Amino acid sequence: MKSKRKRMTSKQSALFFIALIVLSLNSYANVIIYPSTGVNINTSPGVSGESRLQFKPDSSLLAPIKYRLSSLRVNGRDVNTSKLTISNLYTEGKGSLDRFQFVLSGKESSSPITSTFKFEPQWGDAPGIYLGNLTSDKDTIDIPVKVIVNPKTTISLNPRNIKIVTSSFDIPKIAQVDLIFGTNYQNLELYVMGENLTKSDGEFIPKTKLYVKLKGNSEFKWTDVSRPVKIYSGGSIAPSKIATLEFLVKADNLKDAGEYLGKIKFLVRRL
Amino acid sequence: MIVFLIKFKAAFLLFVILGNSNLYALTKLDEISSINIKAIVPPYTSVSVSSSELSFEILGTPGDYISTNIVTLTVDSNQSDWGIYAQATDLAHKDFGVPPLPAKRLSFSVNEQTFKPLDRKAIFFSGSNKKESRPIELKFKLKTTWSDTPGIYKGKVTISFFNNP
Repeated sequence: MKSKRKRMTSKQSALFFIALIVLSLNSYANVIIYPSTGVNINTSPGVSGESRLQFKPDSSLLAPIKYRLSSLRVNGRDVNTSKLTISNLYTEGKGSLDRFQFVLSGKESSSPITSTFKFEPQWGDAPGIYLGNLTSDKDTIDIPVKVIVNPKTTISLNPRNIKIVTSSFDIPKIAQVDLIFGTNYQNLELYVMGENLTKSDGEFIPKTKLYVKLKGNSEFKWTDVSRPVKIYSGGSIAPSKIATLEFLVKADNLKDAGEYLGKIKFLVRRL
Repeated sequence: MIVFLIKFKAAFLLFVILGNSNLYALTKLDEISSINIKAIVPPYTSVSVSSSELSFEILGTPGDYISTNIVTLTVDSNQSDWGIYAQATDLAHKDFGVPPLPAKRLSFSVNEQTFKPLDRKAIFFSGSNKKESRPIELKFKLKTTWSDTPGIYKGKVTISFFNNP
């Protein structure tokens, strides 16, 4: 009876040992990830950046493998890891990588599986290089993540051409321009500056006679645009109408009659 | 001591250079857009006359009589070239049926120059916005004859302004 029990025990031990070997093989299963440089995305607000990785298991892999983004940092700050998403055969649509997502099921029999990683920056996401690591729930290698969010500033002016009859502050004749502005810079100033308005015969109205004002802002008085005039200061903002600008050209009655042409420039200063 | 001073100067110079380059970076403005602007200066002309009435006191024998008042004309205009015209109507007697004094007997002088007839529209002064505007002095002359019926005659002298005459 004792010897029978001993045989059983040794059989169990052998089975346990075999199981251990199989498990160990699984846990060190070889998965080739291509490209080896990891996830590299170059994008900007309004543009969905993506990168594809191929996971090729060897035939001995029998267990599923999942990855999650363990960290993501830019300019020394942590960033929400759910911003990076993955889609492949096993995800339903896009899966956010703040939690483990399947990349392999363990049933591929060495067939490669492609995963697509996406990063869709918002206007509030600072420009810079976002660095992180995808870590597995098994012992497979970490995958480096590098996302470059490019700086972006967009401006739209409506109308693009304005016509103003010269006047005075007493009876002003005004041209209005809607300013639609967006940026992902965290600190930026927007300026407006004029240039001399010239007539075909060389006569000109100096830029000191060209004035700007923010509509509906009683604190913003008529200011000449011979030097840059600040019209916006702040952080990142999604494209939206931030102001209506009013322009006036001052000239006395005896200024030579005719049409004077020029430009009003919009300038940014990144702080 | 000298070595220290040289080092200090070099460090100070480096500091100034770095400071200036930082200042440049901070103040750098980049153009991102522009709008085209067309400013229109409308035509402007102001003609002022010192008197709205002109009279001749003809108390002696027939002949040439100069108006009692000198009319001063001032023109302000922002137009490139301009001209002033004058034309008179016949002077009608206050009583119906009395023959008028014809306009051709009226003449005028500009700034003490020779008298010119007023019976047809004639340019008598031209200017431009490149020239400084000065008052123009007008003197009027009326010729009377023995055949003219005594009494009061009235007429009109019209002064007109034209751009690019």
